[in-house]
Amino acid sequence: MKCEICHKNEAETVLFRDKPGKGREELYVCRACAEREEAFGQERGIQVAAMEFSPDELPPGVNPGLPPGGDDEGWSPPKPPPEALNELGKMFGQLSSLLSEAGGNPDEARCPKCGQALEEIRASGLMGCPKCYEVFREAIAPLLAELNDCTAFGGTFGVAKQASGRERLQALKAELAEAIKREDYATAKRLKAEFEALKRSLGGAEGAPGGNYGA
Amino acid sequence: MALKDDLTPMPTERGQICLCAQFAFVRNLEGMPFPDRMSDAARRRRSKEVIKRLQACALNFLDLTDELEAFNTHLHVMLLTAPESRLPGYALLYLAKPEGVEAPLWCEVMGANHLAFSVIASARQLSPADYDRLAEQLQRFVDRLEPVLNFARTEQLGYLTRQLTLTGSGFRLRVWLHLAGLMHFDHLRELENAANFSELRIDTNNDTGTQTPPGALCILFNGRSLRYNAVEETRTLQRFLGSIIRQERNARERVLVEEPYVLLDIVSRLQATLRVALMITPDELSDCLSDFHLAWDLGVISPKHRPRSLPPMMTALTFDDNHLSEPICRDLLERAYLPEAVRSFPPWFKAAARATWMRNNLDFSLSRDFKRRAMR
Repeated sequence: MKCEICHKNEAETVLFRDKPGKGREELYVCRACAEREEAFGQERGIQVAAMEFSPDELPPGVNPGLPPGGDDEGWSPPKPPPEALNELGKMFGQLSSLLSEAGGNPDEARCPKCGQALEEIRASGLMGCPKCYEVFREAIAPLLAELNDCTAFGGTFGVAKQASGRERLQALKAELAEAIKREDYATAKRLKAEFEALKRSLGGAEGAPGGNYGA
Repeated sequence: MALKDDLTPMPTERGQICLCAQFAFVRNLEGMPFPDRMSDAARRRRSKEVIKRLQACALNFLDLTDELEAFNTHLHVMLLTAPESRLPGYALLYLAKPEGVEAPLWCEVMGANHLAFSVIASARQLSPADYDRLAEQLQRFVDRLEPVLNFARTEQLGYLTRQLTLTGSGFRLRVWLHLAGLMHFDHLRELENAANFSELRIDTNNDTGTQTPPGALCILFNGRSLRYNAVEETRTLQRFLGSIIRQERNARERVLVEEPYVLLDIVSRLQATLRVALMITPDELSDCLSDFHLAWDLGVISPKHRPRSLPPMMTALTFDDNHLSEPICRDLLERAYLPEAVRSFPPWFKAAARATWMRNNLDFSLSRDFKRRAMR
């Protein structure tokens, strides 16, 4: 979503402007405009209150960003009503899915948890949060292959985490069914290979408790 | 409190080349963004939580966070996150005697990743067999914390880290090397290629990308962490390190035997700089220390007139602008005769402090035998 003030940059934050006599106004703005509003809003007789999105509440495709100055101790506005946020979240979610159906640029995709863009990851090799690995799994696979000459971890874990392995197995199964449903056989083939490999590794670990995972 | 710096090189063949090694495991916690994607307040809060959870493991970590300024010139601390890269909420913990690990342990909280556990060993502690052992001990230590801290990981990719280059084992082994001989013969490019071939990397610590790292200081490290576990990576690096040390030793001997006049030129220039330089940049200081170490190692310095001890090659890092504090400069310059303009301008007085330190600590004369041989 574009900033509602400059109409150029991506909106990162929502501002709540209290205009005397006109009630409360909500604006979705970029960081630069938010900073400007915060600095000069009062001089123009406008009370500016702002908040950052909580990453958990973010709809996909919207960058939460950090508060101006990077420190939210100096950026502590009043909270908006949660039901308003929920409504907005739903609206953004619908808008985002419409955009992606219309063939949006995948490089502009952002992690819903931390807001890190795929483009930034490609440029710097730096991830934003553990969730980024899941969200951009397919996009980072070639990067990992280039860096390591392999795409799967060949080392050992300190302690077994079988539950997450089984969860992953279930998720792969669902993804596989989905891929077959939409007749994406290339993806289905890759998912099946991954599913079989994971199933084998989990089976081995069950046979020999701690064997593969003991440090 | 005072911590002992033991990164002084030993007057042994190996110790003169391989200065120190850092074994590090990076880990992140499940369900929270990496530190630089958190707000400052959130990072501070999480940092406190993590420290509490570490203390709950009955680990008597010493928290050095409030005294970080004082420890910036400590050689071990300089090999960790640089002061300018520390984010609000960064904490540094120290464990003098970690259970099951032979060396003291450093733990950085909210550096580039949520947690980084490091053991830094000096040349004195590093025989080839020690590498595997230290890596294994540190891995066990970190693994023991996993049930309490719940590290972010997946079956497919291993431990998840902020840097894609660390994802997998999250393990990095760095070895600081003084490669004056190989640099003199312009062999660093070949060395870099050979390292790449062995799935290792060499950082020449030079932003300009040339093959002349300041002070001939290079860092050898494992470049891949997805395919192998820490011990396998350590073995690969250790094998390669043995061959670097042999080649560097050969190169140094070659300078002494085949080009003694070049060595004489290098050392005479160093003496001249010591005599006349008023101000010295960090890179120049590194180069001077490198020349001095090479001369010391090859027996070019007269045993009758030389410093009592060999200043650590890594001292050059202490005199980096990031770590050189004003009180240290003022202390060094107390009795130096300098123009007032130099004394009142920080970049200049820091440069003057380096020159003063060098003059006070590197005073030496050349061995008569060597001079005779070089001039023949």
